[in-house]
This record gives sequence, C-alpha cells and structure tokens, in this order.
Amino acid sequence: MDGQGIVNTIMTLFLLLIFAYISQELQIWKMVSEIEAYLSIFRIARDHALGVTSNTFKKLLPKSNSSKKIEYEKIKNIDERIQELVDLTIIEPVNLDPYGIVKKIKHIILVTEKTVENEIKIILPNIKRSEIKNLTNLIDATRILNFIYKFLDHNYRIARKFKSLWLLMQIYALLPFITQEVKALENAIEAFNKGLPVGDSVGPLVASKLIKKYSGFENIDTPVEDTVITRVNIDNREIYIVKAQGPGGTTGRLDDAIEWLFNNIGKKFSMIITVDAALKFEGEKSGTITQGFGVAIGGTGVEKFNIEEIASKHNIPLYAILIKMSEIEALSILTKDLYEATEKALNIIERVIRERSIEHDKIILVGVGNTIGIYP
Amino acid sequence: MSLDEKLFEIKRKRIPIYFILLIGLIILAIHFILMAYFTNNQDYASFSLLTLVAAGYIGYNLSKFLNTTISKYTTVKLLTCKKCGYSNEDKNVDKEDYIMKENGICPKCGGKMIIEGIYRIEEKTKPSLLELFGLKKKNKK
Repeated sequence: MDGQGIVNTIMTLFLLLIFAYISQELQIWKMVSEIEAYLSIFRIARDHALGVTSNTFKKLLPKSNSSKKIEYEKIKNIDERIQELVDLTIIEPVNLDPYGIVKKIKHIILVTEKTVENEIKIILPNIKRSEIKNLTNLIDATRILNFIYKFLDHNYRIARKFKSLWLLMQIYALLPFITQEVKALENAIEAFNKGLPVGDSVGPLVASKLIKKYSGFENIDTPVEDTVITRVNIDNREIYIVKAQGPGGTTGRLDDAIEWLFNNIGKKFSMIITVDAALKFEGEKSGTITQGFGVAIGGTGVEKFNIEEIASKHNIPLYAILIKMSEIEALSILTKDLYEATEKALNIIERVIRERSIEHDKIILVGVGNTIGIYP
Repeated sequence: MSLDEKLFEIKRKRIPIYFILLIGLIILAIHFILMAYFTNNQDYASFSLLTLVAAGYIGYNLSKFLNTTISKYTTVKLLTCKKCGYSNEDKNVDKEDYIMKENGICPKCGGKMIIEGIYRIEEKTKPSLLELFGLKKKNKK
C-alpha cells in the first residue's frame, strides 16, 4: 500500500467516525427535543390541575363582608394550603420484615385520608361530606400529576447534566406510558371537579343498579365508615350488597364491611362476588366482560389481602366479574360503552348467583371502585 | 384544552416547515432529474433518487398528520321515568347531578324521572386544512 492509499483509508475511517458521532448527536437531539416537548405538556397539565383545584376551593369559600385585604389574604392562604396538600408525601412502611406490613400500610393510608379530609374541613368548614370526598380525590390526582412532572424533570436534568444517552433513552422509552397516565389523570381532574362517575365507578354502578332493581334503595345501612350494605333477595338467595357510600368520591372500606358481615350476620356465606374495572389489553374492546376467580380489587392491595384472608379462613369461593377498559377510560368520565357494559354485567351476576348457589344461600356481592357520582 | 389537543397544537406548528421542505425537495428532485437527462451525468441521477426518498419520507409524515382526528366529548345524563319507563338523554349535566337522583317530571305520564346514567359520548372531528395551517381558528363550543 502506497502513502496515498494509507491516507485514503485513514480519511475513510475518520469520516465513518464523524458520521457515527453525528448520528448519535442527532439521535440525542431528537430525544431531547421530544422529552422537552412532553415535559412542557406535563407541566401545563400539572399547572392546570393546580388551577382547577384552587378555583374549586375558592368557589366553595363562604361569602363574607370582610375587607378586600382580608379576602386577598384568605385566598393567598388557601393557595398555600393547597400547595402543602399537593406536596404531601406518603412514606411506605419498612419492608425488611414484611410480617404485619399490611396493617401498617392500612394505618398510614387511613391517617393520610383523615388528615387530608380534616385539612379540607378547616379550609372549608361549611361544605357537604360528598364535596369533601370529591375535593380529596381532586387533590390526590393533582398530587400524582405534580409528582410525575417533578420526577421526570429530575431524571431529565440528571441525564442532561451527565450527557447520559442511556438515561435519556430510558426516559424516552417510558414516555408513551407516562403520557397515558397523565392523560388519564387530566381527565380525572375534570370528572372529580364536576363530581361525575368515572370508568372505575362501574363496580359501584352495578351494585347500585342491583340495589335499585331488588330493593328500591330501602334498608341501606352504613355500619362502616364510607361504606353501605344492603340486603336484597334474588331468586330466594340472601344477597348482601357492599359498596362505597356515594355520591361523593370514595372507594369505601370494603374489607371492614365484609368483616362486619362475618361478625354480625354469620360465617356461612356461600360465595363472595367482586365486580370491578380491569385494565384491557390494547387489542381488546372496552366494555368486554370477563369472569375470574379471586378478589378483584386494585390499589395498595390492603383490602384485597384482608378479604382473601377472611375467605380462605372460612373456605368461601371468590368469584370476580371484570369490566375491561383502558387506563385513560378508568379515570375519565364514564363512556357510553362502559355504561352499557354494566347492564350486561348485571345479567351475568344474576346468572352466576342462580347457577353457583342454591336457594336460601347467603352471598356477598361487592361493587369495587370509586363511587363518585353514584348513589347510594 | 385536553392533552391530545395540546400535542396536536405543538405538532401543528411544524406543518408549514414540513410543507416548505416538501416543495423544496420536489423542486430539487425535478432539477436533478432534468440535469441527469440533459447532461447524462450519473451523479445527478443518484442525487435525484436521494431527494425523492427524502421527499417521500416527509410527504408520508405530512399525510399521516393531515389525517389526524381529534376526539370531542359531550357528557349526557340518561333520564328514565320510574312509572312508564320513558327515557331520554339530556345534555344539561349539573355539578349536583348524580346517578339515581330524582330529576324532573316525565313529559309523557307526569311520573318522577330518575338519572339512570351519566356518561360521555365521543365525537371524532378532523381539522380542516385551514385550521391545520393556522389560518382559521377552531370552533369552540
């Protein structure tokens, strides 16, 4: 190889290296610009949620004849209190020794719930309980939006600071899932603000329809906080319908209600049926109903654990009726497809009760989910 | 404005750039084809091919974007008469409304109406070309 050939080879290799570098820089530039665009959208969504929450609180403020200065101070104070509630952090209990952790989680959740409700009561002393529940939901949704934005922004800044392609790639890969969640929460803000039922409310809606059909809203008891129990008769079977107490936005204390039934009605239940919303796969149609075995309850898993404990202790079959929907639909105002699915679910429940039990059996039916905008 | 609409707004700003790029690339491709034809130079043919590929890529993205649909939702309440079963959808959903609440009187039999359901109905709209190029503002309901 002569001198010119060597120079040519080196030049070719050099050009290849430059192209490889440029291609990577272009890739980073594309990712950075997309992540920045999404981050700005998430910030807008967070700010919008904060604005909606703050406005809702201000609208519910009792009218007073105090001076403008005092009114301004009040409003400023409300904004600060809302920001405090949004920035709240829930610390999970230590899991080095997991024995008894469920009780600890439940305790922390209940304390958080009570404290937030009390805070709202202090800010707005004259509002109804259902409104307190809706405001709690609104603050929860805003808190999650705030966390998502802050977490993503933190990771993005770290990635930029250390020029880490791999960190950027991870954020970029997660963007579709995070966007789905933000979309869902943004829609939830609208629903919680207006107090309208969401996709997750299908469980309580089915329970409510059953109560209406078989008892006409008579004999409704509230032995456990935020939870109602009604006894109805379907084909000579005693059905105890358990659901969160509406129309305020709450998921109730379903495990405590079931425990109350076992302590006060008796231990001989022939089955426990749970009706809940379930996440669908992308190819599945919304409103599809599937049956399953076990307890259909999402969330932290505390209620699921407690119901499973009771059922396995007394050897009671656990049946589940699942109404499929996307994550966005679960937190958005109920769609017509999902509403129509509740009618089908009702028929399936009646069939399950008829086919899997005999006359005079006692059955527990639980409508799982947020009962916002649904009575009783 | 929903998140979909915000994303659409961000992407919409890129349309004129895509459009100008597409026209520029098409003109360039025609130029290279003519040069290749009149000079018989192979390089021009290669360049024209490259520009055509780039124009095709931008054109495909632009056509995908022009076919974007945006979902609009209307929330309705389904009112049913307790007595005669007559039902109708009402678009006036108040903040105080909830499912199983008594709401008004039946226009047919005078019985009590109950809110049997509250749900939203999806309506897909395709923005016009003028809206896409920012020459016409969207109709706000």
